[in-house]
Amino acid sequence: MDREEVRQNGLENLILLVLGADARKCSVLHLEKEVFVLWNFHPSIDSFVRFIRHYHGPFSKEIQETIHKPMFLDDCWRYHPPAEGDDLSSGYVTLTEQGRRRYQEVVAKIPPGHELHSLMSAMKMVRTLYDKLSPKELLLLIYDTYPEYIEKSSVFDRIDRERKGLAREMLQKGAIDSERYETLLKE
Amino acid sequence: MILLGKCVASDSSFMICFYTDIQRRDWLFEFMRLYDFYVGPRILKEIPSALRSADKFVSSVCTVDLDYYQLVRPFFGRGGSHIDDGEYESIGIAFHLNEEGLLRYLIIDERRARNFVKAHFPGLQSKLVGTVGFVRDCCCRDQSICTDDAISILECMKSAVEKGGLGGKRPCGLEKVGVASIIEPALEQIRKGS
Repeated sequence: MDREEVRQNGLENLILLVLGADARKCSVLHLEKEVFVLWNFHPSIDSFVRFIRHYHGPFSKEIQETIHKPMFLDDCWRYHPPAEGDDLSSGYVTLTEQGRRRYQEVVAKIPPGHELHSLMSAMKMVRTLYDKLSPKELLLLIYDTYPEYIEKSSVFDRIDRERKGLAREMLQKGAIDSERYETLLKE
Repeated sequence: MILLGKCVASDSSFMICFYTDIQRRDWLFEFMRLYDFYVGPRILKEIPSALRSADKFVSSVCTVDLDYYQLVRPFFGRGGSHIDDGEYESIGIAFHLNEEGLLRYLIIDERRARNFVKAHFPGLQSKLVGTVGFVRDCCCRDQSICTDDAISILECMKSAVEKGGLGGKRPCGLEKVGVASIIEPALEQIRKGS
């Protein structure tokens, strides 16, 4: 494998591991932002993926392309297009039976004590935390936390207009606490 | 008693309590001998440098060199007020240890971080304790320390909390009301168990 193939193979396995970390289906938007959070956390991810500013916040062209056209992991996940009127989620992804088997194989190959175990736990942690947010709620938290990755747009303006209601929804369902709620209102 | 999974993820307030507030380093090192304590770079930054660089401390503690705060950052915003909070780092470390089946306790005294655990990670709730609860459970649940020692530690903490800290600091992470609501009930439980 040349350098680019190694990078692509790494990214595909990274996506497989994030998807396999939780049985729920995952929107492409959630997947991308969760990988971004993991990218900030674990140095080993840095070589597989890049993020640029975008109207959806931190954006990775490689993730978007790999979801639709993987080079190495054929038939491991299935893409489900967004429902009519859904212009935020970018569609959903689920692991196939083959993907589940492949996930188990990859996990089984990680030697005990290897640093990848902490990355695997972190993947479960971010899926637990962020999957419970709607695409709008997720975007509000991401826009608010990483303004350096925002490309202002009609999407940003819409989320910004709905900021108060979205913050209240997150507070009511216990996703954020009152202190975070207050900071979201101040922006 | 043999403890399977004797790993502890702790925030800095636990260590500061023993090292600075009640100045009983012997007890801190005894706990670090009994359990495997895990800390990250943010927690290390929060504890006194003399403790951080002490040979006994360095050889007893397991250091995790990953920035776990990044995983939860959007739930706290970009503001700097929580950027150095080791509590969130200890939650990440605890989550990992729990996934590996190794976590015994997650020690956090700060209210907001405790609520964050309760809201998002039900799997960690049964392992979540404060400094006082940890001392109580070491005695009553694990029997890793004896009743007399547990009572001595909590009496010492009680005295420090009643005296109050300098510059608005809360010794052992507790307000004075914590004596009646947290320390006394723990003492009662330990005495009943003995």
